[in-house]
Amino acid sequence: MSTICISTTPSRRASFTAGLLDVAPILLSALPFGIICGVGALEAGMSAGQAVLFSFAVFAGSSQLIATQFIASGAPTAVVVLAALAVNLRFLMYSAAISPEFSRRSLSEKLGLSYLLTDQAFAISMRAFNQDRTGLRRISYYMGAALGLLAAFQLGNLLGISLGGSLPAGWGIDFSVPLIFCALLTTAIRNRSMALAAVIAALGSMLLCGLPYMLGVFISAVLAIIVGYAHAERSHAA
Amino acid sequence: MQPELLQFATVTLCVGAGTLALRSAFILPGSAARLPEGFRRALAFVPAAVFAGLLVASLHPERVIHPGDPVQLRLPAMLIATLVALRTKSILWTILSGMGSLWLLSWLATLL
Repeated sequence: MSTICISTTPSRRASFTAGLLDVAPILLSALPFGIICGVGALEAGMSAGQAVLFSFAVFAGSSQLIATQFIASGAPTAVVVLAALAVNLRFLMYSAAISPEFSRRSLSEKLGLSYLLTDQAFAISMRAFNQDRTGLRRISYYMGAALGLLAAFQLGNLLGISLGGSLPAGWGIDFSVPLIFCALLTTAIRNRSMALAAVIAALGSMLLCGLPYMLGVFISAVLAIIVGYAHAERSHAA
Repeated sequence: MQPELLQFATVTLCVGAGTLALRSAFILPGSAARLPEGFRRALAFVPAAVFAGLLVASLHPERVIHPGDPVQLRLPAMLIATLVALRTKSILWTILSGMGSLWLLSWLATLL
């Protein structure tokens, strides 16, 4: 007697497509973010080729924006690098949380998967993994979401580099930089301690705005992290 | 090598490699590696603190006190965008509402 096996496990392609579809609404945000990063790189004095290379090498919008802002303000190289990497410290958390999903992959595959790790790819993938969808091919799903984000962001970056010089100054396109930080901030604040840290960082940055190389941002952020952490620990203990 | 080119090469290499190192820190060694609990909890405050500081710095607070500076129009536009951001949690809608408000306010200012 022969047995017919009907697989209910989605194929790699179906899981990849599911990731791509789930991330689609976010791509509408990744595109303008990329445009602003492209414009910012040109304003920092990079050539078009350098701006493309920089974007692919880093592939982290907020730290690209920070690096270009610091370069434009004339900051020394060490300050630019430290500032850009400081904001990327959050990737340590994502890396620790998602690492069990990638543990059986080869070294080169792990490096590729790591390169694609972004805020949105992490958030979308962890939500899907926690839902424990039947038979979801997790790596394929992650790849669908992460590659969609990479394509949208880099396309936006290329558009920004192409349009950069032709955008009239009267449009105030540089205002989109604080707008992006505002949107990122509202999603970063998840409790009262984080709100307190944000208020302290904002006040400190305002009071120390006279310091060169945006050092006021650095100092106020460190102070805000210490106070926010202490507040959270105290609330937890109470 | 020109100083600008040297700075670009150093920043690209260090930030690119450093970011990849942060992303892969726990993926490459596998799930056995663990972040110290206290450090992990402190890291959770980095985005809120850094984004808030940068938000204020990129609004040029040193120019806001000068009467007539066009930067002043950005404050009400930012307020509107903040309300939209809190409501939608969307980068796209925050940019659209903020830029739209700024352009509208600038146009109204030309009529006065």
